[in-house]
Amino acid sequence: MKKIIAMMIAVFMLLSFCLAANAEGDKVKCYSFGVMSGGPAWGQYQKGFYAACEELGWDGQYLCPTTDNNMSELFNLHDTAISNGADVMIPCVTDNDAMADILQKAVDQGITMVGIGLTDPHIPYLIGTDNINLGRTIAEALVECMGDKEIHVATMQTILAHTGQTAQVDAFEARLKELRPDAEVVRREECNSSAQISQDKLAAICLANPQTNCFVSFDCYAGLGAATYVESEGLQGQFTVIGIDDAVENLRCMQQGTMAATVAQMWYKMGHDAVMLANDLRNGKDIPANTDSGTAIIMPDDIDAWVEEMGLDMNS
Amino acid sequence: MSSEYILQMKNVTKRFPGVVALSDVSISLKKGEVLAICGENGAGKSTLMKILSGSYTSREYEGEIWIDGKKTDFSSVAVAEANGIEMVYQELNVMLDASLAENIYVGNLPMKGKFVDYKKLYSDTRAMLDKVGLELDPRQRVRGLNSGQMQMISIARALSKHPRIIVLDEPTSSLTDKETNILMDTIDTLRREGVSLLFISHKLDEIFRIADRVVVMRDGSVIATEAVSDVTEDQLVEAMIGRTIDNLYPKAAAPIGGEVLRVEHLTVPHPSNKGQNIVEDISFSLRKGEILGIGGLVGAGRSEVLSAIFGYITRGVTKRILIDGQEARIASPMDAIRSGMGYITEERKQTGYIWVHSVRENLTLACLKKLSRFGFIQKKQETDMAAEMFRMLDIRAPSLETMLVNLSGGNQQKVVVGKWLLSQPRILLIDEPTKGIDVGTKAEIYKIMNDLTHQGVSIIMVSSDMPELISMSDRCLVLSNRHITGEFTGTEITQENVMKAAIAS
Amino acid sequence: MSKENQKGKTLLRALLSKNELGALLPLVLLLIVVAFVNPNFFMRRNILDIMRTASFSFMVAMPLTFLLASQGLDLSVGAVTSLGGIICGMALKAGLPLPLAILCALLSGALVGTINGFFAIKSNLPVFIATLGTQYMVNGFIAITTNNVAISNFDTSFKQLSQYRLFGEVPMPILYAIILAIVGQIILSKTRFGREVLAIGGNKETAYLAGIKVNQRRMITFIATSVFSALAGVLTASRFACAQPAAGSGTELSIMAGVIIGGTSMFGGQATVIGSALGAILLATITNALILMNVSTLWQSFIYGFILIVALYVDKYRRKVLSGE
Repeated sequence: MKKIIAMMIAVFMLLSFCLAANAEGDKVKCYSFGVMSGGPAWGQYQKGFYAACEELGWDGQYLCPTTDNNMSELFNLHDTAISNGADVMIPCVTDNDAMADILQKAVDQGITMVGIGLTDPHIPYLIGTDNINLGRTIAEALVECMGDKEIHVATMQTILAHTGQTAQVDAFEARLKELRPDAEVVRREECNSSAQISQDKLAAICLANPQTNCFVSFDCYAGLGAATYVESEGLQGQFTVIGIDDAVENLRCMQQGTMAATVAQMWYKMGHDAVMLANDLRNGKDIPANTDSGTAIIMPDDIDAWVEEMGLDMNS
Repeated sequence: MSSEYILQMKNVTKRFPGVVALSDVSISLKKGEVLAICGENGAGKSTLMKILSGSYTSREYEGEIWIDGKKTDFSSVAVAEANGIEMVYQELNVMLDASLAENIYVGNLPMKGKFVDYKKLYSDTRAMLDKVGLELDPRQRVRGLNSGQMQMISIARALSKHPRIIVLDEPTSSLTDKETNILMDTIDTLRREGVSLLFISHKLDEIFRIADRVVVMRDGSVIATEAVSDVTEDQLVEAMIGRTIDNLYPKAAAPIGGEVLRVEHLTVPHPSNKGQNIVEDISFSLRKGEILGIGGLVGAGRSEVLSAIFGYITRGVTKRILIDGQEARIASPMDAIRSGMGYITEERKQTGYIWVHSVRENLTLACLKKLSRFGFIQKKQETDMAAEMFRMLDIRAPSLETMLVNLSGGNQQKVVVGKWLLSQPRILLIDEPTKGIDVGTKAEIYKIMNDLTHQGVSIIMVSSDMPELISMSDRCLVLSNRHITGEFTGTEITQENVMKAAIAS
Repeated sequence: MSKENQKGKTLLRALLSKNELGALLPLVLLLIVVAFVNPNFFMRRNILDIMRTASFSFMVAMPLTFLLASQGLDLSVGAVTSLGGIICGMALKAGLPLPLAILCALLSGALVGTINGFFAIKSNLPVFIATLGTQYMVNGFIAITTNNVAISNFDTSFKQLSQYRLFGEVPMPILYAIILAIVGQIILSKTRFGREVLAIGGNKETAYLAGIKVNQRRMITFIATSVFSALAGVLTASRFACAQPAAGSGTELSIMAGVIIGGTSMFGGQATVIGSALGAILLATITNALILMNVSTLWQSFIYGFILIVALYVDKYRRKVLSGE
């Protein structure tokens, strides 16, 4: 009995697989990858990606690890997509060496690729927030906010082992030195996307280095933690926090005066334009090797206009 | 330089913080000799074994060990094995899902090149099984064997290494009489082959039957070393406990009242053989102040009967239980305790005590409800109750707060008994009340049972110890082949009657 | 043996008999080192900060102590922490009054706890994997319902729940944790429930035969663990006026490590709530002290692991001496 049921299930699966393959056989299969599902940043990216696929009539699919930031699973997902017969891939490269074999396979199979994430020899075309540009923009935002005050800054990443973020922080520090040779980077920290850890660590950093007067966040929740620190210590106006991305909670901190500015990456544009660029490539058009989807510095005065433009819901 | 003695322990002293476990102990073992070691719990027998096995390294105690007249440094277990010393422990130590052959030759498998030589393995195993009288297939798994057979497997494992000295710790405590006989014969054969044996046992009849000489230990010292032919049983007991006991089994019959418990149509499925029952449709009753013995061979389902009555096993069990003529629904130990029952199980370590908890906590475990007010344990009342039981049962431990893991087997058993006494049961189920316990403590346990019956408590006692069963029971049921095959009262309870019923089908 | 020597030994034994030594000894050593390097550590504000950090993990560690004591395990506490915050946030957004919103969060915790308990007790699944499964499912549930976007925009009354400072100094979570520590320790060492939980962990069969409601007690420990995890989530959300979808993710193992360092046996039967509090404080102190001593964060994981191992060795040595081997 069990055998019969197992056989039936097997046959059923085989049939449905064939049918599905037939039905979508003529559609362009396009896979995109990210480190997590949803969220203020990747959620926007997904929206842009799926919108573009719909415009083009492509069969698009966004893949990400079941646990956030699980890099080895992310690599495997790329592999899976190649095996599933992808026509177009938007790979998310976080580690060149670890992904070299997988990407080589994609090149060998002639899959059209427009990458987000790190520069990689296998991927001739990239779109996204250029890490260097982002770091530089953040430095500029900080300098603008600080005016002629001294700068003693602490930075907070998700994890120190995140290559892309480290590149951002490096670029940030370099640009800061250019603009303000007297600036001091007090400490580099990590908070594992926990506002709680961010706040606790910032408190300790300020105790150990009382001259610290500003904070730059490279992690989506680090800014919230720092802003809460400012609020609880009553340091509004004296301690400058620069957040990252346009999450509603960041905008709200800015309205309350605990966060000075946030630097938004254009996640929707990134997801949307990646697909469009890949389409151009398939149609034989020439595209630039690097397309910067751009960054925007949002100051408290810009919030209303930004919310309207991006269609954000401030009540969420 | 050769010596008459294969093994000599000279002036061995082992200290634990606050206690001297062995004090200046000297023991000599001749080639081809069976030397029995007996003594009460805490006398130092297990410490002695651990020293011999190399578990305690030579740096951890004072004194010397000589092998073949040469001083030998027992620095590890490997040294003991290299000198041909094999231990057979009382606790079963087998791999349930490995074959008999693998169990016997574990760590010592015959090899052909890089692979196990299975042909040789199985034929060697066959020979070893013959030696210990097991008619089993070397390929079969150990799971499903009874504890007696498992004990024999452990012995076969020791034999397979062709040791010069075998140390047996209470080897017969889980054996049936038949198996005991086979073991005795095996020991005899080994002795004739020139193997020396250290035989640790509480069973005096076995000592007299098999040993050449006997060493009596008490409180960490050697009290006497005698040729077995030169001593009597009473002298040995006296030496062990340091006092005379008039009667080892001091049954003091209590007045027997009306029926308190009636078990009807009890059927219990076999624990390991699927689809079979271990007892089928048995009925019996228990009267006030009575000790009802249950005899039978190991594996006849005696323990299962107690567990089923107590609601400890319920799956597949059908039963009707009447207490004082009223039907009682007993679906769990909780129900049983509420109905006034207590259950002292056979396997103390698995089901009797909590070894990381103190004497006090173990003693009051079954009466926490009584001790609590608004969910809080009344600390003073608890300590008083535990202390009283501690004194009454003469539990030998440094204090009420000592963990059970640090107590000897007999004292652990006393704690388990104490736990159930504190729950004040009207019906007490006892499985092997004195298994692995020294003579002195045995007598104390019997006295407690007598006292209880005088207070009107009724007892069902399962026992494999024939003298105990015969002298303590007012009435005795014998289980065999799923049914009650004999019921004897008073003077009818004899070794012959019980034995005949136990092997009846 | 001289009298003084004897006295010293008695003192040592008394010290060793404390379950909490595994956390206390490394903590004291760490404090001594920090005192030399940066005395700023001992400023009241910093101590309060550390205590606040420890309070959040202790809120989960307290019931987890009972769970481990009964030989249970729960890897879903981090996910349930996130869940508690999210449910409370959604309820507030839906217009429910604060007490009701908190109740919803706690009930969601109770539900997850019941499911965990069901897996462990009724179905007898291996808890390690089963609660890992719940962890994934809860995280998945959060992702589905929120699309991993945080919920913010709460009014100030919600923030007061954990941002209010008693006497303008002491953050509320510390107060909650102290109350929990006292109540927890009393339940563990003075009540029948505590004794029964320890007995179950020490030997489940013995406990069952002694008439203890083993399944019911175990179920309570599972539910309590999840309920308090959800509570920790509510308080975290209150602290930032923002319910983050991953507020508690990744905290489960470090919280459990704190409990075990504190002297609760992974094999059940022995537990101390005060030790768990010390364990939580130790872990919070390590992070803080490293920054104050200007040790690079790159060292943090290494030192964390190292101190954990030291704590385990202290505990092992302690047990060895006590059992007389």
